[in-house]
Amino acid sequence: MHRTGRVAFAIAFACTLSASPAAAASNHTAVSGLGNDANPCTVAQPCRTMQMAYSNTAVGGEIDVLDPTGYGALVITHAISIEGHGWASMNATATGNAITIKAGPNDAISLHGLILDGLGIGQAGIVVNSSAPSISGTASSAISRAVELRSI
Amino acid sequence: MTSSFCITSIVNTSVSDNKGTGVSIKAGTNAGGPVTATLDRVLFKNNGVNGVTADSTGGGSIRATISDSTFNFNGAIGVSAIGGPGGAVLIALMRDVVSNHPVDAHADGSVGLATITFQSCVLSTSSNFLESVGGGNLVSVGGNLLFDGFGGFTLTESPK
Repeated sequence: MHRTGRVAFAIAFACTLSASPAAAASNHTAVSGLGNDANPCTVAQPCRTMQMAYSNTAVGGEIDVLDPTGYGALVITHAISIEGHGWASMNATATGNAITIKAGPNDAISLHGLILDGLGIGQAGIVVNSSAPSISGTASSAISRAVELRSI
Repeated sequence: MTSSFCITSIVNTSVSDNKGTGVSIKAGTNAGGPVTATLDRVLFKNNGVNGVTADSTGGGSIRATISDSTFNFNGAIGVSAIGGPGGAVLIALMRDVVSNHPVDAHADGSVGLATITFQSCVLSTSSNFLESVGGGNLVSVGGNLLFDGFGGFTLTESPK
């Protein structure tokens, strides 16, 4: 009976996690070692993992890391800025990369102040794959935007 | 001309102790198109394969600028450029330290244009500083220091 109660609690907890997060993506989200992925990823109620914060961040928005700890791996598919303050750790796993970028056309991605430590077992730190369908664009415009990004 | 591009900037970041390559940039993996990457103040240390690899053999082109960064004790190559049939790889290194590798910098032009330029960089204590394969370009544009190793630039140009 006691065991059954534990199982029921675990299922209820899992449902709470999957049903949770924020309804609409925000331009500015936050993660913290004290956060919870059931939170809406605000500064007052931060998320725990970078991937959940990313999922709650609007295209072109920013994720802010509030304190130093590990925030897991991340797959990026749209424009985003991450401010790690030099203390945000994102580690690769034995089967995956710390950050995988599969960006769309014109997507601008800024990663600042991250620690990507594979601990000797992780795959790559960052893998950048251009992956979007072709659109109009020129090399010169890409370069000018890169210069703008560098000033963050 | 139509193309897609991805613009990435990595700043003030440490990439270390990964089993594979620290930062791997691949253009045209799925659909083709240039990747523009700016890496500034990044530490690439003790990664199992390379510090940075830019590979355009899948199509597209890659332009990367890496400044004020350190490559140290990566397992194979500090900075690797591999040109592809559909696009060139151009990596510009400025004020970087690249040391303690089997090969500090490698440009492979066997399939497509691959160029790495060096300005005010230090390359030291490696089996081979610079390795060119298939006509890959390793270009000094001034102010570089090489010591305790072998190999040299394929071309020397004045800063423009």
